[in-house]
Amino acid sequence: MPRLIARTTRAALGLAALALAGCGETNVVYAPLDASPWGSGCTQLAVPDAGLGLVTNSLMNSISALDLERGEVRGPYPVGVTPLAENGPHHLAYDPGRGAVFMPLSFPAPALAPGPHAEHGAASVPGVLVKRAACDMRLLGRVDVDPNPGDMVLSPDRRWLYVSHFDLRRALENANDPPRQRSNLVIVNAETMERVRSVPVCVAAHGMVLSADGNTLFMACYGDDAVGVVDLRPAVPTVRLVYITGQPPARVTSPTHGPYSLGLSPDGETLWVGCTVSGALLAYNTVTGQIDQERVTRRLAGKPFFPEVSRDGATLLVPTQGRDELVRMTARAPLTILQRVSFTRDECVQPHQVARGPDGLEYLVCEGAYGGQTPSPGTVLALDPDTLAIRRRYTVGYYPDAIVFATPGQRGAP
Amino acid sequence: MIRRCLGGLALAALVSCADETVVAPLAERGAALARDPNVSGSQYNRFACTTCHVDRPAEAGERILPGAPLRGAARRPSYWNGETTHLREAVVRCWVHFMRGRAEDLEGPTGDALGAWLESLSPNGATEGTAPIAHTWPRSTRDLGAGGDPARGRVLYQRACANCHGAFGSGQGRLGPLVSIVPQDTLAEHCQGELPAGVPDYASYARQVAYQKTRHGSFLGYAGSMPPFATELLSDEEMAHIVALFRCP
Repeated sequence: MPRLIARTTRAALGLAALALAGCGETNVVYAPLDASPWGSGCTQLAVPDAGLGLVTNSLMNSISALDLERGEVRGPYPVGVTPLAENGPHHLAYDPGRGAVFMPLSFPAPALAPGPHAEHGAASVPGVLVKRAACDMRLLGRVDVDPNPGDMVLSPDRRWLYVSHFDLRRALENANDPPRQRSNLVIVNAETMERVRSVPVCVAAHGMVLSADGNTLFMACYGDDAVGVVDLRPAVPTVRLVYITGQPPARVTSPTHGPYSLGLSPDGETLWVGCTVSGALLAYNTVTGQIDQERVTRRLAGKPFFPEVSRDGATLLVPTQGRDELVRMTARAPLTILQRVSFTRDECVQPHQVARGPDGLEYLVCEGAYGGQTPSPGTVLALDPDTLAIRRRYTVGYYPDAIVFATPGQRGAP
Repeated sequence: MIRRCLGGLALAALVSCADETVVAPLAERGAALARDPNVSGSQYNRFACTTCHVDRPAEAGERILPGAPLRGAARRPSYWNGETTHLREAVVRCWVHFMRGRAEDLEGPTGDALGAWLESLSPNGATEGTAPIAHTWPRSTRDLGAGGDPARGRVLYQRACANCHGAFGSGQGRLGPLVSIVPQDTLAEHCQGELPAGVPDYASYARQVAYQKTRHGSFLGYAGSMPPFATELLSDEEMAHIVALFRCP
């Protein structure tokens, strides 16, 4: 009996000791938060009745927002992801359904080497495609793409993002291996931001336009002197190159024409191609699949950039650089220049893109001065669609490159 | 009877044990994580948040820290010299680039705790520390020349560099074995071999490399995990004294 009591006592005391020992370690529970400490974030972009223009400032790692109703500039809003570096946002797409803005960051090689240490020369740095909330530009997603991303378009059903790569360095470094000179078309899932496919297309592809049904992607193939026609319907998209001169260039690193910018007519039958080497503007017939030799002109005084075709398809506006102008011309053969508008340096330096706004005005994006010139901020001119007179001038950041518009009540279908 | 008493004793101990649970603010957990050099989970990391940041400026004492004070940070309109307007993105930059963590790791409890801690340093209505902080990092670098004073450089080294690199010349007390010993490791690499184009001699090369590394940290073509020091923290005049410590044998 005493032995039993002793055993029981030992057991009970042991249990108590264990319990007390456990109690010695205070069990701390942290109070859950009512809301995320980082903020819940907005979901809807506030758009004035007249609309909003979103403009990239490629030398400022930011975008500016143009309030088309008040004529005011909001921002700039930073959009870069890599500290200290020139992130180089160029083109962008707005998805009202997701309330998101997409843009590739190109990380261009700096004009001045950062220092003597090895490995500077940022052109080999992979690009990054970012997805940001349009209302406050917080980061929603990102994915690496190839170095030097050029243009980017969003599919009509807003499921896919297509990114071209203006990768001249790749062409130069693979001079003895032509297949490797071709840049990739990278396809990204716009919801998950996963890179789903990479398709070699052509040398240094830049401007892109999608057909209205989203089945065909047209690409300006700078190094190949060609229009790239990509059939997106097969699981592995197929590429056909239509050479401007009927044959490939002798050297892809020094093209004759250098097709760079594209614009599609409203009926989808004519693809306008601006060439920055030859200065030619030419029409590609999407029905016949051929360059329309009757609609090729080299009579523009400057080099053509991203054009805009009128709603009826009868005329087009073409910004030109070298001689900084906006040119209105007929879209049918024979191509005839109807109007030339030049600008003072305060108004517009290096016009890059013209696009029709939701208010019916034509918006001309002007890069401003940079490089060897005394830098000046870029401008966006709101032009009367009939007279091309300046209605408003917006001063934005350094080297604006592209504009997209948001309108009230816009809905997407992701 | 005795067994019942003893059983009651054990039960009482167990019952009283349940009373030891303490509910604490999540910010406390965040503060503990912020002091933890293992927080990012990377075997290559030796930084804690508090290695580079203090709450209020006075807490740095004589130290020159590359990170901004955190009091009021959650209410600042922008971070990283205006490169981002979102606190979370600012934290992710430190987490990924310096602490070698994965951005997605901040989406869970660790991120919530750190966020709560930063929020606790920025009470509603308080204005202290809420103004944006200017940090200028010039993209291009240059040779500051040989006119710097090494004695003043040593003082500045102690204030700005020793926090991570340890004692000058020995590295004693540095954050970890991957952290370079200054100046030996730098000189061993840059006082021999081929000179980059435009660099006249090794003396200039060593100075320029030291300047570039300090100004850009691990960015703009220079690898590693070092944070950059802005001109507001170390002027070019002060940098001239620091680079005077980097003399090829």
